[in-house]
This record gives sequence, structure tokens and C-alpha cells, in this order.
Amino acid sequence: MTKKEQEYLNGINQDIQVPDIVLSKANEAFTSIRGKKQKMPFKKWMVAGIVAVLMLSTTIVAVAASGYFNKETVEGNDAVTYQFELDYELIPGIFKATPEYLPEGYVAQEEDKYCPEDNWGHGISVLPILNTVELDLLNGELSESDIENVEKTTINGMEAHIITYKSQYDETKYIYLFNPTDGYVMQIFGDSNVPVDELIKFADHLVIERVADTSFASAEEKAAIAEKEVLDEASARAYAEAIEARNNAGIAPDELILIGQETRFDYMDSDIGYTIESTEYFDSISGYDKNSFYDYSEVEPWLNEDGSLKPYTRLTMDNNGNVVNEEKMNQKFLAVKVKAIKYSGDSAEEIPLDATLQRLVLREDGRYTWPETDYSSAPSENYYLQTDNRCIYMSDATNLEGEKRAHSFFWRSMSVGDEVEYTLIFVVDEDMMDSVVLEFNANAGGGSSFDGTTATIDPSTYFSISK
Amino acid sequence: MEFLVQKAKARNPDAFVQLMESQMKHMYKVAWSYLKNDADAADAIQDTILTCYEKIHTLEKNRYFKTWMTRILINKCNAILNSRKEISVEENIMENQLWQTDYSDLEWNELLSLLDEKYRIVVLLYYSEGFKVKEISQILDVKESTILSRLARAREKISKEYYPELRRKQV
Repeated sequence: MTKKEQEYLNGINQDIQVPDIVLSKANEAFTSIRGKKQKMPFKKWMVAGIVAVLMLSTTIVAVAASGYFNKETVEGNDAVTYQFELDYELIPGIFKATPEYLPEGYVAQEEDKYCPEDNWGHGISVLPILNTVELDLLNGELSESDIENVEKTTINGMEAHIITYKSQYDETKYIYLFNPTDGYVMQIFGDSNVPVDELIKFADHLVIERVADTSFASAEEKAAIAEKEVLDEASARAYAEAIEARNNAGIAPDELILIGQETRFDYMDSDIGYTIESTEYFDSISGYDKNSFYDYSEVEPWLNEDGSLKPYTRLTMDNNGNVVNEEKMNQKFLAVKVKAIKYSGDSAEEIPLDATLQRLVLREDGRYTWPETDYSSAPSENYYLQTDNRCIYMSDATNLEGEKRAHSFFWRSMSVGDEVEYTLIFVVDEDMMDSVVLEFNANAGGGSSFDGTTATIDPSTYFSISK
Repeated sequence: MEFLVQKAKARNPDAFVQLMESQMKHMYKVAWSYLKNDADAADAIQDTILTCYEKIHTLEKNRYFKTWMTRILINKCNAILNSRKEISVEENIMENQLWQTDYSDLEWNELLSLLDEKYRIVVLLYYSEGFKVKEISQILDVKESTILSRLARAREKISKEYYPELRRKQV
């Protein structure tokens, strides 16, 4: 790698601060997503009596004297936080806002977004109106940080706060409108190109209607949703536990499929048997047909004159993807002779004959497990011989031309009863020659299943390459 | 991350938000490399977040979340680009300004701007975001061999075209 390239790569990899405008838009999306949960039943309202159990409403703080909510505003440290004490006895409404005024040249871009015709995408957005259900989902709190100023005023007959930000990159602003009487908070966003006075005028001419009451789930629906929540949690936990259990259990050497032992996989509608007949590490590919390499141009730069491999730079990365070691690594070719038989299936369907190498490590208890470190080549070297652990060569390939070569080099049409013997060649680091196993792509991931509640991780589809 | 993906697929908004927040720098870099301004990048990211939440249940394998999400983001960026008209002018100005600049002083986004879009995104995904060639091929729907040639071409451009001394000789 040249010094200039290194400078360049260092430059584009420098840590960055995501601009406030991006965070602000992302937060709008997050608020909306959290708000979608409103379709679920809300225990506090249900307990408060809207559905059935009126007598229990005394357990809920009632603030009806102030309307739907009381608000406390906390300012300081360049932030403003609004904390809401909510009334759980009043039925929250669903609201719609319609503008009666748009700044000159502005048109409706989409629902609740209004932009200049010559600056598409940048204008005024009316965020989903937050009723008490949504405020409750937000834990009764809204906040804005890195603010320059909060100007308190009255707009459209409501208490209004106009918020501007400190960042030099962010000339956006928000108007918050608080309506405790009807039970909603509105956030109106103005992009950098929107003058504050126009944003205020827009907000002042909004017509806000209550279009419906929030409907709450029946007791049965509530029970079904609660049950689903429990199942969803359980399924996520089951998956994580299965992964952990797999890693803890590891693989016993005798669970690996041995050389000479056939294993059959269902691939689409076909039943295919694979047998590794022999394996061999070797030094030179002199004499091998160049056309049987998937892309010989990737291999050639790494060959010495005698056809053996040059060393490459290997990076070792920890769990967080940080490079913890860099070393020159010698490598060998690994030839794997395979026999594949098609026992049943559609003859038009092409079968993947290739495989990938999986690296395991031997534990003290004699079982194999998955390593915690990962490896990569140095990006500067254009080294692709072990990319995705795939093979670089397959003898007897049939898809050798054009698009078929690009996409289906390792695939082959087979009729029922067909048997094919072929050789795959991989490149392996010298210090990993005893720790790699092979997994056929026809079964990639097939050893693992997850039905939403139960995860099964079956490692017994790895083929040993050792005699 | 896979656990968060699984929880997000189970319609857990908090897990989804946490997941997307962990990807914010990645999303910003990718979006900026396409759109070259913060406001459009913010729009593309906002749309991506909403689409991902809507569609995450269709993601078959959790480990492919980042690849899947990046593809959605790039589609959003392309949609915004298609609605623009003046990109090429801006790019030419940028290149003319910078060919005589030593880029050791430049910010990450200025460095990316030195490359044409088709090289810029491949370089970013490969060298900065750690995607494999195969994954970039899936994200961009371009053949692996094309990705490899773009990477090689980009390296060539980085080494020669923007190396001030060399550039002057070429001129």
C-alpha cells in the first residue's frame, strides 16, 4: 500500500460525529415507531375503568382538574425536558391537523410534510400528534438536547415553545404545542430553509380536529397480545440461549463426518449425497487447468514462479472488529476430492457442488468450538483467496462461460442417479491446517433452525478433512 | 447484534431503536457518500428506519441484518438522487478544486468526494464498513467481479489521480 493510500484509508475511517439534523430525523422516526405501539391495550387506562374495572381506578393518579395532563418543564445544560403527569380516566383522542396556511411556494409533499416546490424534501413537517397514550409510551417525557433557546409564547391558542439548536450545522427548529384540555402535544418541525416567522404562521393556522377516540383492546385481545409478547420474548431468548448452548457444548471430534462417509442433504427438491473421498495439502498448482479456477486472475498475483503461494498479511480482529494483530502468513493449497450423487429431485434444478471451510478451535476438554477471533486480509493487498472461506477451484465444472460462469460456476445440472467426482481447492493458512472443517453449500445453515420459539443448532454437518 | 435483531423482529420497539442507533454512524457515512449533504442523508436515514421497522419480519437470517438494512438505505438514497438534477455539476466542481490539494488534511467526507459515486460507495463499504465483496455485491446488485474491479480502480485513482505530484506530471 502506498503512503497516499494509507492516508486516504485512515482519513475515511476516522471516527465521526453524526450531525444533529440526522439524529433529529432519526429520533422522529423512533418516536413514530414507539407510537405505533398504541394499537396495544394500555393497562393503566383499562385499570382506570375504560374497559371494565372501574373500581380499581383509585390506584391511578387522577389529574382531571387540569385536563388530560399536567406538564412540568425542566431546563438546563442546553436541554429542555417536559414531564407529563397523565390522566388515565379520560379517553384519549386521535387527532388530525390540517394547515390553512402554507408559506409562498410551498406544497404538500406527502401527508404532514410541506415543502417548497424548488427544494423538495426540505420544509415543514407535522409529526404524529402525541395523545396521552403516546405520551405514556414515552414514559411521560419528551426532551430536546443541544438547544440554543426555548422561546415560550402562545400559538393557535395553545402554550407554545419554539426551540432552536446550538449546532452550526443545524438551523432546524421545532415548535411544541401543548394542549392539556384536549389532551395532545404537537411537534412541528421546520428545516433550515424555513424562516421561524413562517413556521409560527403555519402553526398558528393549523386546524386540529379530534377524529376518533382511542379504542382499547377487549380483555380477550389483551390476553392474546400479552401472550404473544411473552412468546416473542421467549423466542428471542431461546435463540440467544441456543447459540450460547451451541458454543458451550462445542463439537466432539466423533460428531464430525469422516472422510469416506456419505451424508445426504435435502437441497430444494433434491436429495443429494456428498462424500469426501480424500484430502491433501500441497504446495504448487503448476499444471492445474487455469480455466477450472473461478477467477485465475485473483490467484496469479499470489503465486511464486514454481506455483507455490506467497505469504499474505493477516489481520486478527477481536469481537468488536478491532485489529489486534497483524502478521505475514504462509499458506498452502488444500485439495478435496468429492463424490456427489443425486438420489431424487427435479433434473432441471442445478445443484451446488462447492463447500466452504469453517475454522474451529480445539478446547482443553477435547471438543471443538467456534473461535472468538476473526481474521481478515489487509485490505490494501487485494487478497481474495480466502474470501468468505470459499474454494477457488473446481475440476469438471460445466458452467464456464459468461454469466453462467459468474453466477453458477460451482453449480451443475444433475439428473436422478447422476454421480460426479470432482476436486475442490482451497487456500489455508499454515497455522490452521489442523483446525478447519468443511461445510457443503447445499447444507449451508441447514444445521440450524429457528421456528420462532425453539432454536436448534446442529453442528453435525461439518465434514472432517483429517484422516 | 443478532439478539437485538431477533427482538426487533418480535416487534420490540426498544430493541429496534437500540439496534438502529448502533448503526447510525454507518448509515450516515453511507448516506452521505451518496447524497453529499446532511439534510438529504437525514431524510434517507429516517425513511430507512421506518422501512426497516415495517419490513424487519421479512429478514430471514438475522446475521444479514446490516447487509439488508444497507441495501434499503441505498435504495432510499437512489430515490432522492433520482429526484435531483444538479449532482454532476457539484461533483465536477469538487474534483477540480481538489486535484491540487494534498488530502492528508481533508475530512473523511471530503476524501470520499474525491471519488466518483460508483467507486465511492464500494470503497466505503469495503474499507470503512468492513463488508465482504460478496456482501457488497448483494447490496449493490452488482457482480462480485465488478466490485473487485471497482476496488482496484479506486485504489489506482487514490494512488495516482489524486497524488498531487503525479497529477502534475500527467497534466
